[in-house]
Order: sequence, then structure tokens, then C-alpha cells
Amino acid sequence: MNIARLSALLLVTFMASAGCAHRAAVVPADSPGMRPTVATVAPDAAAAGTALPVAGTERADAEVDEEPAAVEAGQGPAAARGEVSDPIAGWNRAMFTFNDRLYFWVLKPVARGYRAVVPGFVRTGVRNFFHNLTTPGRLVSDVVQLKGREAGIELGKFMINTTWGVLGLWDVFAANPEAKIPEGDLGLAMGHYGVANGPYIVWPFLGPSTLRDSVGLVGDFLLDPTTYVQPRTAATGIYVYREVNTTTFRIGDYEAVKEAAIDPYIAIRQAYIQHRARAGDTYEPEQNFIYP
Amino acid sequence: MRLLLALALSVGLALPAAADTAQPIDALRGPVEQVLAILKDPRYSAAATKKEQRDHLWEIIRGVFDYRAISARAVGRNWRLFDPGQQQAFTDAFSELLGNSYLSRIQGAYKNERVEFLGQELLENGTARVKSRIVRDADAIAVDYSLQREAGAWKVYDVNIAGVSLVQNYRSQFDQILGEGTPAQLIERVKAKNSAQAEK
Repeated sequence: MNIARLSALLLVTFMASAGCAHRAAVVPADSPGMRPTVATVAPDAAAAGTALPVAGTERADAEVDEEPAAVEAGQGPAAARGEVSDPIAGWNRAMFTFNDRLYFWVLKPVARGYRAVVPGFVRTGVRNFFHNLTTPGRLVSDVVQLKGREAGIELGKFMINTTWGVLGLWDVFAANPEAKIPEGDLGLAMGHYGVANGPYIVWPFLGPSTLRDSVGLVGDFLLDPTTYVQPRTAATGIYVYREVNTTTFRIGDYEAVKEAAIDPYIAIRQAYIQHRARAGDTYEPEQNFIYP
Repeated sequence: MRLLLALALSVGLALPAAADTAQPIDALRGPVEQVLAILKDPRYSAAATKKEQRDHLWEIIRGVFDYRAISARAVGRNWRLFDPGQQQAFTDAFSELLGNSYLSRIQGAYKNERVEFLGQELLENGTARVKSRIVRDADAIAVDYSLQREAGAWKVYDVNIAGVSLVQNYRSQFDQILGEGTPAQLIERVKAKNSAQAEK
């Protein structure tokens, strides 16, 4: 789950124009995660639409009472009301500020410099390589949730990309919509079994999370092969390098969220919670974040 | 002046009947195509023409959204605390914020993405959902629009991108601010944000 993706979500909006398509959660055409809907045009329902009262404040009040958007979006009742448990808001806001500074003062300039000298195909290759390497976490999440089809696809992709894709540098399935499945993590797997988010937590360096997702992160961390690289400084170096590389694909996204928000801390918190509530249903290419 | 107003009113009243057959998806398809055409238009590739391009974009999307509904929903149950003047002031300021934030982003980040419309769904309460996705290379973002009828025409009152609702996201911010302050203070904050953006 990364914030850049959230930013993308918030950004692209209006004209369904363009924003940062590569960063946002991705829904393939025939993804099973896509809610079953569409293309049901009922003429009488259309006619019923005209019966809506129009104009004036009465209408505005009436529509407020419906509390519609969230409920329709399929969130739970608490999420629908936009309620997030945030008992340590003081700490969280401080960490949010820390991550914000970290992004603007360190990560962004470094990523910019790196992007200026490293061509796009290399950065994509690096991203693919790490994504392939973190297959175990996604696979375990699928298996735990008894998602046989997804587990099979993860495993198949891993084997093909590691061999034909030269250690995962090339994503052989990049253009294959069949292979685009929701990518799980242990936080989502726990959610699948009814574990609630618990309090919202912002971690320094890691960014937004919840109690449940933090426990998941520990598991995901243990399932990440780069965790076991020795010496420890090398493992840390790899992690940082990976974040810098990932950041090059999303420079500008976080800035735009901040730009559009009245209270960026709340905007990101809300987006995190809402997005996680649906993340298991939609394909998301990246599961890492480092900044607010 | 009065004649113009009368004319406008009569046209306005005549329209709903004609628009009954209009589908919500059509209310989006045309404008989205226009927006993409403007974004691709080489005429606007020079930095000096960005302002002109922005005005052009703004003109198109203005008609697609119901800003009053978006504002009322983003404020939520606290909308009643706003007197009519405040509701108008808030709607104006919030529309400006949305326009500024997103237009500059759209202008800056467009890289030949396609927009595909997947279909529409008419709900029993008279609202509609239009599902679309933005496609770049092999990736796609799901973008769902919520529409309702306003004077006979379908207008967007919320945009949901991969599970994150624009209205709901703002509502969580406004709830917090209104929990600690007054509607006037919220309007001030939105205005202050607008001025800060304008200075950039």
C-alpha cells in the first residue's frame, strides 16, 4: 500500500483524465475484483430520476441525509461514516511531519537525481526485480485466504519471470490482463478473516498503517528475502535503494495530494483506510511506501 | 435583462423533457473526449498557452459537475449549520479549490492515457453510477462517477477512484475542522488555501 497510489486516486479524479495512471490501483478489464455491475440500463429507473426534487437548500439537505457515497462504495458502516480510530493522533501527526520532511528534503531530491541519470527501462527492470522477489509474501497471503487461483498465478509468474524474465528484471506478464490479480499482503489476509484495522498508526519512514497492518508488515518483512541479506547494512541499503527507485515513478503525486487537501494528514489517513478496505479486490502493482 | 432571464428560464424548463432520454454515461463521454482532445492538442504544448488551455478545460468540466451537491455532501450533516450565504460562499471557494488542484495536475501529468467507459448503472434512488477506467500501457485505474439529476441533466456529485471517494475524503477533513470550529472558519481555511495556491 503506498501513498503515491493514494495520491493518484485522489488526483486523477475529475475528468478521468490522466494523472498518474501508473501509480494508482489497477483494475483489469475482467478482474474478478471488479464489482459486478455495469451496463444495466433500466428505462424506468431513468424516468424515476426526474422525480428527484430540484433546486434550493431543501434538496441539499435531503441529499446530505442520505450519506450516500460511502455506503454505496461498499464500505463497512464505520468506514462509511468516515470514522477512523486515531487515539495517538499527536504521535501520528508528528510522524506525518517527519515523513513529509524526509520526502521533500531527502527522498525526492535523491530520486530526482537518480532518475536524471538512470534510464526508464533500467528503473522498470529494478522495480520488476524487487516485485518478483517479494512473491513469497503475496503467495502466503493468497494461500492463507485459500485463494487458489491467485496463488497459482503468483507462483506461475514467479517461476516464469525468474527464468524467462531473467531474475524478474522483465515482467513477462506485463501486458497480460489475465495475470493481473489483486495482490495480497498479510494485513489484508487478516482483514479477510475479520480482523479489524484497530488504531491508525503512522510509522516514521514506513508511513500510514494500522495496528492490524503493522502486524502484517512484520510478517511481510520476514517473508521478504532481502531482509536476510548480510550484513544488515547491506540489507538496509537495498531497502533504501528500492524505495528511491520506486519513488522515481511517483514524484509529484504526494505533492498534488497535499496541494488539494485542506488537512493533508486527514486526507491521507482517510484515503489509506478507504483504499485498504477495497485493496484486496483490486490489482495493485506496488506494495511499498516510505513517505507520509 | 428580464427578457433574457425569462428566455433562459423557459429553455431551462424545456430541457428536462428532452433530457429524459439522456443517459448518464453520455453526460460524461462527450466532455471526457473533449478534455482528452484539448490535452493532446499541440496548440497548447507551449508553456505560455497553459493558462488558455486551463480556461478551455475549465469551461468543459464546469458543466459536468454539480458543485453545490459536491459541497453539500463533502460537508455532510454539518451543512445545516451553514446559512444560505455561507453555503454559497463555501461552494464557490471549494469549487475553486477543486478546479485549481486538479486542473493543474491534469495538465501537468497527462501522458496519452486512454479513458474507457465500462458501463452505467441506474440505482433505485434515482442516482446513477458510471464506471470507467484510465488506461496507460498495461495498467488501469478504476474511476467511478456518481451522478444525479440536476434540472433534468445528469451531473456528477462524487468521483470514486479505486475505492477512495473524493467527497468522503474531504468530508473526513471538514468533519474534523467543523468539530473544532465554525462554518465561517472552514470557509476561511478553504479561501486561504486558494490564495496560497494562487501565489504559486
